Amino acid sequence: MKQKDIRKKLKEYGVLSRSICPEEKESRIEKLLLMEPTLYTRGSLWDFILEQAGYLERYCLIWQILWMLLFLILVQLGGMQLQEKESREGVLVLFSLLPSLLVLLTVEEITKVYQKTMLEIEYATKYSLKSVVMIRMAVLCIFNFLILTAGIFWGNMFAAFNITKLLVYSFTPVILIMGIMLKLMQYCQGEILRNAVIGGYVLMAALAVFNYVKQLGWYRPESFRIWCMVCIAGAIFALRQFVLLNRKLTNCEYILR
Amino acid sequence: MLEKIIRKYYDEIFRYCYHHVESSALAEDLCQDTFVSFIEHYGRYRQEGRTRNYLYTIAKNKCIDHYKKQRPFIMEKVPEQEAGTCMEEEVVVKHMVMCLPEELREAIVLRYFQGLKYTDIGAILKISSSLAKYRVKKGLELLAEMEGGGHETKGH
Repeated sequence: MKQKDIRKKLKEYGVLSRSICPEEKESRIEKLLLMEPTLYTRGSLWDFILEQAGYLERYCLIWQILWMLLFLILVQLGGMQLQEKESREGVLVLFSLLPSLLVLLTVEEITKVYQKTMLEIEYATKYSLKSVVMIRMAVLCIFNFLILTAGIFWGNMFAAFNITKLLVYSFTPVILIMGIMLKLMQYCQGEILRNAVIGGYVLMAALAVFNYVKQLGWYRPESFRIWCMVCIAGAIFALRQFVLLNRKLTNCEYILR
Repeated sequence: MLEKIIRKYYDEIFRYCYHHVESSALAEDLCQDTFVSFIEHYGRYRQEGRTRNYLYTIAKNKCIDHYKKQRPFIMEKVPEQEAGTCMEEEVVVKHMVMCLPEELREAIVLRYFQGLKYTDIGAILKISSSLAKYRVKKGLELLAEMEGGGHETKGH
């Protein structure tokens, strides 16, 4: 018998077997549903946060530790270079680029929750999709914000550089990337989102290098006001996207219910 | 919602179990065990993929456990119930599939009996979709050889 015939027979058997149904289906499902009440025992908020933090993949933690080491090296070596006019711009470019890398490293951990059919699991479990997404975002954002701020303050100890400027230079790209990420999260998920963020990051890096090579002067004192404006605009944009995402998740819950 | 999930996938998982065992009563037991495990362990589920694939993975493990307990398992004859429903030729095909090596059999069952996509088969068997495709192809080759050389039933 040729493979083609075998395939045909297999398919035919597959179709025929679809008519076979379990005889005791209803009684068995009822038994299964008796187990259900044990599923809905909610823990405290703290338990929930710890539980969700525990779901974060180990690779995410490893990347963050590696990032921290890289950032500490930048702070230690670059901090001193900030005082020298010639190398200042290069160090500031790194201070702008490196923090946004954190967003890229953690975006997948949040979007994983977004997988379409995973909604079913979430709804069979104790918490809503929205609460899971929000808590994961909060855990990662707070952790990243703390290590970033601590790193910048520590770096400032090595160089008497204006701390406000350093914060703005570092956080503006982070806020912009976060805003874009929140926007993308409303429309795409998983791999597509990650590739989009990587693309955005590469573009930003290319722009920064272009600025450094061509001496566009983004880090001149007179440009600082523009940085502040971009930072505020970016924060408003990110906040708006956060609200929209929140609304979308609420709608999502409504549809599922 | 849990009820919805159970109802949505119960028949499909039952049929998957049915393709691995010789009686529908046994398949119902395995299906029941699958959902019990699902309910017991869903809290530890790391939420990385489709619910359906997760259920298939549990069912696959249940069937493997069943094989281990049943060894040596020899399919000697066509079950009466099936033979009486004009499905004899198809049942022979099923028996041939059951004689395939475990990894090829799984791929064939999921692809042709359950009608899944290669990406889903890959996710369930924890292999790449291209390897799933390769296993299906290899399984078909073996089935063709079996048919050509006369079908002999073997143990799992």
